[in-house]
Amino acid sequence: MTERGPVDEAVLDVAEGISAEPITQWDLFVTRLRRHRFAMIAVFYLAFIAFVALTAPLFTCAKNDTFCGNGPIEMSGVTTILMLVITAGGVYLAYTSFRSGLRGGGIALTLMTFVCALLLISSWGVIDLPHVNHYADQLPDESGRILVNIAPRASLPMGTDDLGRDVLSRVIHGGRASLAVGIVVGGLVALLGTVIGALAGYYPGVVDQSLMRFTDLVLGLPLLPVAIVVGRVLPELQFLPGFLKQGAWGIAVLLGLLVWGALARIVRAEFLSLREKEFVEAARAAGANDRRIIFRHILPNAMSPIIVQTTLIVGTAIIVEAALSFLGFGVRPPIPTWGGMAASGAAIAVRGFWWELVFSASALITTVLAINFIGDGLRDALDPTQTIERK
Amino acid sequence: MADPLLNVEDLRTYFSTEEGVVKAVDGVSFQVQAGERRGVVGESGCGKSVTAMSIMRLIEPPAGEIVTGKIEFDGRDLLQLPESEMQDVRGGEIAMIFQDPMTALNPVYTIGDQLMETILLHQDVSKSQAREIAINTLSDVQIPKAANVMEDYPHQFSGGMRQRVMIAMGLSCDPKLLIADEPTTALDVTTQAQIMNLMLELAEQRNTAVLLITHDLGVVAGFCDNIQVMYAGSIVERGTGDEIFHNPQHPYTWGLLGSMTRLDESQQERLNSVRGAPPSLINPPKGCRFGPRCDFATDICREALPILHQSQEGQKVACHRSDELDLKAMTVGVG
Amino acid sequence: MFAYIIRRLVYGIVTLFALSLVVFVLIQFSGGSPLDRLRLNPRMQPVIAQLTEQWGLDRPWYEQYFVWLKNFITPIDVAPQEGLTIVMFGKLGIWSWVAVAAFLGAAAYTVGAFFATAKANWWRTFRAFSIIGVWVAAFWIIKSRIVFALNWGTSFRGDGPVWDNIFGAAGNTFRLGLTALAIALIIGIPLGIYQAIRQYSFFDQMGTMLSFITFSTPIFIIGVMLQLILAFYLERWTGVKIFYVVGMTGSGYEELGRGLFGLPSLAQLGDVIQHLTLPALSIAAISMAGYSRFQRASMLEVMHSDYLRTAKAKGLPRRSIIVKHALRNALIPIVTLVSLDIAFMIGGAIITESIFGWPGVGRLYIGAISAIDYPTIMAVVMAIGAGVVLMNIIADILYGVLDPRVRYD
Ligand SMILES: Nc1ncnc2c1ncn2[C@@H]1O[C@H](COP(=O)(O)OP(=O)(O)OP(=O)(O)O)[C@@H](O)[C@H]1O
Ligand code: SF4
Ligand SMILES: [Mg+2]
Repeated sequence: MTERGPVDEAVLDVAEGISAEPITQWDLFVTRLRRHRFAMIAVFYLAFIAFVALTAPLFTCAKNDTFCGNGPIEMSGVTTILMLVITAGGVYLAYTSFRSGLRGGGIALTLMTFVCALLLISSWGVIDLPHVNHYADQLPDESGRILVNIAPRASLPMGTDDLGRDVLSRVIHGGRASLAVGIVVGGLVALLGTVIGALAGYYPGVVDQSLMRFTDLVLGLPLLPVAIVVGRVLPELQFLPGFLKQGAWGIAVLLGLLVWGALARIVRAEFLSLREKEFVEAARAAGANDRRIIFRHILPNAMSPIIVQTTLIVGTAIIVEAALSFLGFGVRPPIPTWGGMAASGAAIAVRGFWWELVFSASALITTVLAINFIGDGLRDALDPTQTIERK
Repeated sequence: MADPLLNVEDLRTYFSTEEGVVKAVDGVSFQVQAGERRGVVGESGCGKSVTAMSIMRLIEPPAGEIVTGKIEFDGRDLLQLPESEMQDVRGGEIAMIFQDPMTALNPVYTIGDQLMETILLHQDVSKSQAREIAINTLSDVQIPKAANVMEDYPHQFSGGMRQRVMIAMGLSCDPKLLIADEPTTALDVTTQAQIMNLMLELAEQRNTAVLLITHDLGVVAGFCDNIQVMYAGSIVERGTGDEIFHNPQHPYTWGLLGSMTRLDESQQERLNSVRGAPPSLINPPKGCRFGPRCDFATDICREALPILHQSQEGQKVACHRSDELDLKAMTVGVG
Repeated sequence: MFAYIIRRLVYGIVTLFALSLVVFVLIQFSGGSPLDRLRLNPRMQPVIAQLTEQWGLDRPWYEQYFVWLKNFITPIDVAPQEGLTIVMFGKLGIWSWVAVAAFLGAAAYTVGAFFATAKANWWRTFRAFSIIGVWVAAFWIIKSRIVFALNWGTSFRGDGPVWDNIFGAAGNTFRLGLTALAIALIIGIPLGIYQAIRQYSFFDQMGTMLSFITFSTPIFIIGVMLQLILAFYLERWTGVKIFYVVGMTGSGYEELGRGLFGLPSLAQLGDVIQHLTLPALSIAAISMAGYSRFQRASMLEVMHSDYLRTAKAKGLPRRSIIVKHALRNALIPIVTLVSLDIAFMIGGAIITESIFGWPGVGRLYIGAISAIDYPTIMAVVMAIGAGVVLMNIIADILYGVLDPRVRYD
């Protein structure tokens, strides 16, 4: 045997391409996700949308709004600069932590908590929105007339709607409803789908049977018709607390309660197969209790489908919320939502005033598209079997 | 020596992947005589299957491509043949059997349909004649009640039975060469020997040459006339079964032999086995590809790539130090 | 197999039961009443009292529920307004003719298959086609709704028996839905297959991108955009009215004259197409994106399967590899998808129908929701639920027929 020290051997190994330093799953995941160009763009786009929606009150007050004296776009220079700096900082922070900090997972978690908190606060604003009277956003001209249906121009980049409200500020505020739906549905689906699927997959027999029958039942409910009924009666349900009746929260919770079935099935299937794997047997033999096996051994291995499926369900839920608002059974006017704006925009677009429709629709489509891209990117990144043939 | 049935020269098959170009087969040359039984061994990922797929021209662009090389079969260069003529070769003159019989048959067609499809494709016979041939071949591979199983679907069969069907399908058109890519790996041990015996016996009856691919030296040792050992996309040693088995010249072959399970193993220390992991096929190590894992590597090994040459012992070997090393002496209990 | 179907049916009925309970309770708790509108007028007081009595609105909700449930499954006598033969040949619209033609075609195929194949494969063929036949027959019965009726109550909005309304509207919804389905299938599936065959080509990437975008677009935006661009703006630019955006037919439809055997005349057909195109396209766009993505994925999976490698190694030409070995397998999963789409057809058109003023079940539903017309709401929800349950079972059966590996017991 030739003499080689351990260090020098490792160096040689790397140099000769026998083995690189151990690559963790997480590194692989991040590398693959970063290679998915669309998904990366989508991440930043969503972060941007969330940020803008969060800070909406800062820079979308109308001229004669008593809360802030500046017009929507004629913001003071300071506000503009502040806004740009904050945006750039946020994007930079997200970018750097994504490049370097994610390895440990700790910083990633912090970042995600931060973003979630941001999103939560931002969508919390939806509750208060009825108090921000958007009819007050109407823009009068010098002689005091309300300027309705003004085409986009430098001072009003998205024009005004048929009531003279600034479309840009409404598009920005409208994002809050979609975000609220995204967060609540994402959370509820991940929670309900995982818990129910995990219990059903781990405890065969009565638990499995009854949970799965229940899941079948929920899956059997036709989503849109049921959502419409609930959306219609939601503001009139006396037993609900106020914040669920108005704005996007109630709709979000409702959708979350309706759409977890598919995830539960997937998680159950995952648990069924993982339960039989050697490492679980080994853990069981080593005396681990059920809780430990479920949380420490099986769940981490079932994360990929949970994450991917939840992302895709969130996209669907945002579309359904928009559809409800479009039909008039979702978030009620005057609270701005993209779906609701598309409805009123469609009515005036026939007369040639296309902007409200086009801008609200674009915001909606790009957001859902971004979410779907992220879902796709996550699927590619988390499923190692798919990557090898990609050119 | 008569003209070989199959003559592969400097075959190189590369795959382009996200990580870079995978040189799965990198300069392989060998010849197979008519009726010969040739074994190909090597650890997982060394390019055995890709070699076989290249011969059949089953490598799918754009991911994979045969970069250079010549594959002469029966006097024709397969790489130059137009696709339509290649289709006649596939299944007709060269047949292939794959590793996993569970998934190799189309689940929605009956066994009979799939067998007759091959026969009708390559032989000028009527439907009823094809049916007869199919039934005969099925009984040849010892499937009981052959006529009845024609209407059965693959999922109604066990793995061993399906592999018999695959063999029947391969042999039904009397090919000159049968490539069997790990035909028994997916089967249980008792079935393995049966299937292997059956396949080789039938091939012998029909004077069909067999290229038997496996990562199990024990299997080829018993069944093959000649053996070639592959490592990281190229052949490192080639010789008769006796030569390879009793007098390995290449340290890798020697290691492979050492890692074979033996009945008397408990009584002795295992001196030799292959340590480490296979090298990257994207950036193969400089010099001898086995160098980083070789216990006998010296400076020259890290500089120059050894080429396959005639060793003093008779077989061909690709090692700088094969002549000075006496591997046989270092092996306890082999032979 | 039989036991399996029965079990699925029982689960389905339980689901439907739960569905009805949930929706009913929700409506009851909403506090709104179908009579609210009448209350605005003080002179309506006696009418309100009478209707409250008549509809049982003053009773506790569970009593109302059981009354509703009992009625819902009780057949009522319907005087056959026309004889069966008249129904068959007098009142049938375009789609019924299509259905009849499909049925006859299926029958002919079955008979043909029986004589053509020497092997005993005909039995499977027959089963497949008798399922289609049953489906067509069911559709037929829906069209000629006179034969049978359940007591689904009277609309609170005063437009007559709910049963008649629903089945009248269902025909319209099917006209829209089936057209959309046909468009989506005819374009989406070949698209997906072609993309898979030419994986990574420019065409494939464009197709993937396009279907991704379409898939992420809410249907109401597609509908509204189609209206604006292909109807309003196109008419403004060209001065010709090519597509209509409201209704199923123009107001002067009957004056356009009937064709032979009571079939629509060419002019009528043109009118129908002018009205049908845009709503059908907007539904089709989304399904098309879904189908092509799904078909591409399933085709790719098959293309990389071991048995396709076997087929190549046999020496089959590329064409028959794709047509005989790949397609046959890659089309199986899409059958399930399409069956479920048909199931959601009734409910799926809600948005499109309200955008295009299409007098189908969806629009009926939206109208009923606004007025809290609960007999209609319940009936629509139950019809959709039943459709989902039935099509799920049919999808499973079809799957079993197409894939010999699947056996239910
Ligand atoms: N389609 C492909 N794309 C990229 N790389 C490939 C492809 N097919 C094979 N390879 C690479 O080529 C190398 C050789 O593979 P091959 O299948 O020939 O190995 P093998 O010797 O048959 O191994 P096994 O004993 O596991 O079958 C492997 O490293 C594999 O990663
Ligand atoms: S050439 Fe050198 S490194 Fe390679 S096998 Fe021979 S001795 Fe080992
Ligand atoms: Mg192999």
